[in-house]
Amino acid sequence: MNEAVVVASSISKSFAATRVLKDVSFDAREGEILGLLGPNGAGKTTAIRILMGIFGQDSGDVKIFGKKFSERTKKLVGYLPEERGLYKDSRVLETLVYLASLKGMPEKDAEREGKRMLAELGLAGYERAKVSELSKGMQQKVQFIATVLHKPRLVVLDEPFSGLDPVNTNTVKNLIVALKQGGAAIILSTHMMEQAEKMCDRVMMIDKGARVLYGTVAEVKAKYGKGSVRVDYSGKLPQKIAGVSRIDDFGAYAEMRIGKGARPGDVLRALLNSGVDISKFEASEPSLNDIFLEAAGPGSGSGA
Amino acid sequence: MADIFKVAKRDYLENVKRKSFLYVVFGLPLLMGVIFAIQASFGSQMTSLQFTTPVGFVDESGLGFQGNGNMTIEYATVDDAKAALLSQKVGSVLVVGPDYLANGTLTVLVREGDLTRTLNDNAMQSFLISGLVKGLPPQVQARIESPPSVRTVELDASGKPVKSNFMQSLVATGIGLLLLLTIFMSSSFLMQSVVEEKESRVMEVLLSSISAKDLMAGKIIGNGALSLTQLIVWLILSSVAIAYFGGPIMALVGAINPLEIISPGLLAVYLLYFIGGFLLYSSLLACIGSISTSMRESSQISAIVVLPAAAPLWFITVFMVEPNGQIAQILSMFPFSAPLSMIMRMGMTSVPMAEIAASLLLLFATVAVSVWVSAKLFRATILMYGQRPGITRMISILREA
Repeated sequence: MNEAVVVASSISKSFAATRVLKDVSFDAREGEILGLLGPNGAGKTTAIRILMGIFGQDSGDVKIFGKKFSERTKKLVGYLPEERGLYKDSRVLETLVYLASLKGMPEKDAEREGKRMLAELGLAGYERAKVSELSKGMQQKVQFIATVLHKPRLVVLDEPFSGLDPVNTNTVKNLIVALKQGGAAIILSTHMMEQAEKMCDRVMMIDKGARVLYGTVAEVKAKYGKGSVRVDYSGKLPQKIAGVSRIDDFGAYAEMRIGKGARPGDVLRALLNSGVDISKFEASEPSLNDIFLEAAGPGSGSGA
Repeated sequence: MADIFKVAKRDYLENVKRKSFLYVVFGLPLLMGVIFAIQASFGSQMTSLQFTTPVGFVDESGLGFQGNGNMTIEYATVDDAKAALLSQKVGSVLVVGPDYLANGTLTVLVREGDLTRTLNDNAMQSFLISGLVKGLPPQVQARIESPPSVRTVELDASGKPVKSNFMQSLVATGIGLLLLLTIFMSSSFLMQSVVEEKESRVMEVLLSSISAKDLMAGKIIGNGALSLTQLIVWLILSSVAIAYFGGPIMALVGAINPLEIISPGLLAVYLLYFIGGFLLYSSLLACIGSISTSMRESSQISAIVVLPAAAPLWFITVFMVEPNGQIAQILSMFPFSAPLSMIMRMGMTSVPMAEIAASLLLLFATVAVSVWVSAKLFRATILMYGQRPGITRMISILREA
């Protein structure tokens, strides 16, 4: 097993009377992506801010690189906050060099690396542009560079894909994978289950401040069993289908959880009887999205 | 320490390039230069500015007033004078009645809607005096006609004359105001940069790299250096101006060379008040920046804090009359108004050393408290977006600290 870079043991945090985190434990390891999943307001950002030492936990313990969080460990971490932004009137490379220098990177190195990464992300020629002159997607890329320029050993990304178009999503995805292959520990907080499913080695899902799922993607799926079907269809899907406990309908595609005792064949038969035109039917394990909805959706009893 | 320096360097370099900074640093001296130049070229004309239309008079008192040149034309009767007035030969008519000597009342006639032409007091006074003093010895006449020239000599405790005059107190007030302006400009830059970093969400990235304490310290140092730059530029510009044009300008406005008044000791005290005032206001404004949710809100709150600093100006006449009086003493002890008050007082009179020491001590004690409180509040509230903590919340933050 790779070395654990972050070890959080039963951390709790309250704001005024609200408990935002309840006894949450997890670790993040070198060369691995840990997915931090959960609905809005679940406590993901709070957990991350505690890791970053922006505020302290009420109880529990966090160790980063085997030590308590300190000003020194800050320099080894790259952090992309969910609420992001850059100095609007400053120039791109200037901003990158300043932020990297605060992480302890010599300015000369930061300048060279910054130029290289800007070119790599298709932003060559924008070094002296003002941040406010860039498109939103470009700004996001600059912000991503600012996060990893100093080659941190721990990278914490809070919703890195939000606001990105598919092309930029792919670019950022490749960068994250490259960081992982370079041996960094990555904590990735996201709503995008499909991305998480494909990218994360392990996931932790929190809901209402409590950890509800934790393990490798395979482990989490195994816990939920094989009982899902995926259907490509046209026509109108019946509201209730015998043997199906939950339907996630996308209009031309649907994922269904099969209830206890039912089998995929029963579902197929019911669908054919209802007169829906089916072009593809597949028995599968549930997707993370399925599991997310089941664990944190309105039907879970916990609300979202 | 390195982090503080990096933040200071960035804040300094960002702000020193700001247009508003350059306007104040170079624009203000330029404006003053232009005002001096105007005074220098039109000054003599301004002082002799008078109505050019002649004034008529009718002497019914029998005291024998006499006209002098165009400015006073005598008419035998009120009717003659009225006719001259209505035909616009004269702008106004002064009627010295038969019982003027007994009760001193006069009548002035002007055309309808022309009340502003009422005779200039000084001109009338000298006209009347020159009529009244006739027959007195010429020297007495001269003394009565021309006002006394007063030279005030202020003595210190040992009986030696103190080098002090009205211009000196004006110079001190001016220096105090410039220091205050400098303090507020750089403190408000500091506040702006805090609000900007908060609004643009750069703050969270910064705080994941360095501590809130270092960030605030860096900002205070960076903006402090900025205001020192401003003072140094002004000092250089004014030295150059005085060296080149000093003599004629000083002679013209009747002032003494400011550089002659300011001794190194005085300069040191000014510097202490400047540093104290800057630290006090910059830490307060940094704190206001961190608790506000927008630039507008922060400037509204800061206006309340800034008000007492200028308080000595409301009492400027009190200061002039009684520079060691109670109001002046209180204002120069109260840390928020101390810098300007004490600098003003020191220009007007000699302030006991003990008082200066006590005032500085109070100021720096307040600075210590203010920096501590601000650092705590800054750290605790800097990442609260969209909500401003209430007083009770702020107190509980300070209690927890």
